[in-house]
Amino acid sequence: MKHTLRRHVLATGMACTAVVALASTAWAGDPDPNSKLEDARARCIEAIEVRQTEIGELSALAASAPQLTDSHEGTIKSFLSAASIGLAALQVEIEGDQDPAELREDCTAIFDDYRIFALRAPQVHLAVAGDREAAALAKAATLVPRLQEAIDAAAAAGEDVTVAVELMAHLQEALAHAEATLTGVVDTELGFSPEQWNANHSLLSATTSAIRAVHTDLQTAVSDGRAIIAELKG
Amino acid sequence: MTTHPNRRGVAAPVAGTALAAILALSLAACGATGGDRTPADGQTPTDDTTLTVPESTPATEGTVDPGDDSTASTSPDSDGSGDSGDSGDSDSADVDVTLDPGLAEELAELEALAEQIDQQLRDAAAAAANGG
Repeated sequence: MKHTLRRHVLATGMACTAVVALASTAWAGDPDPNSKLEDARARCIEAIEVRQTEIGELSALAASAPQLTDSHEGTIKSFLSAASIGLAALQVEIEGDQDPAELREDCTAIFDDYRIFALRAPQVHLAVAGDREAAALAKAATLVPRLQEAIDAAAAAGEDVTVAVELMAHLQEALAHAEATLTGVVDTELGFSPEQWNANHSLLSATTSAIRAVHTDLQTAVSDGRAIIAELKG
Repeated sequence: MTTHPNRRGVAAPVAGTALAAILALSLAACGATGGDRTPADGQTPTDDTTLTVPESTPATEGTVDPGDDSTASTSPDSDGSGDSGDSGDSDSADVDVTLDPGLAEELAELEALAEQIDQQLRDAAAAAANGG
């Protein structure tokens, strides 16, 4: 899937440039303008089809992600559905375009108005990742008292639990940091629009950094939890 | 100083003789049944000539009080020697018993979630890096 996504993105990225170029040359006194126009049209339609496929894959991903909240899934379905309908309508327009300028404008809209690969796909992946992190943090929170009970039992039995106590403090610090970092991140990033991305191509950088930081915290918590168990087993 | 016999002094030898007879009968009874036990504490003869040997099972002699540790009765050294109840009270084996067995499994599930999250981050980066 990853390779498929990259192939599509690379192909459509090149197609984007080529489509606009073809639409321009088709209109610039080319000896065979109709041929160039049809070539550009075909490339535009192909770009739409690739995006419709991606929308389908993103919809399936959202539908199959058990940790995605209903609210976030609803938001994703909404903007993907709107994009799919919009692109389908755009395709109809492109199929009817006889003026190279109109064709160029419609083809440009495929990218600027929808940003399926640059924005929507990362938004969905980041939402799935963020909600998965929220679920993981909830699960980790239930492990904390159980690990603490085990430490207390070991201490009551006369074991030296100094290291286990330090690891527990580190684990809890990581979880607290993760909770604070993740709060509101997915809600915010799902609200970003293609217009915002067009104005700021680093729009998702903060979201990506936050989710990556929470991922690191989770790994720390898992590592600390395992170390605590190893300590108690002696 | 003159010693005056009293009732206790006269009665004692008589009681001693009777006890010896009872013991002899008791031993004979034990030999007849093949047992080697003595009556349990507080067990008294039912009459002057016989001693009822309780139909106790062999387990009564070597059973450790189950109230002290439920695992003691299955341990190899629970033979009534008195050392079964104090083993493992403070060593690591006992601590291991108190450790929630589901913890390691749930930590593994958390790690699996973390791997899935990492995959989503990579997919997001792959899409975002190409724009369009």
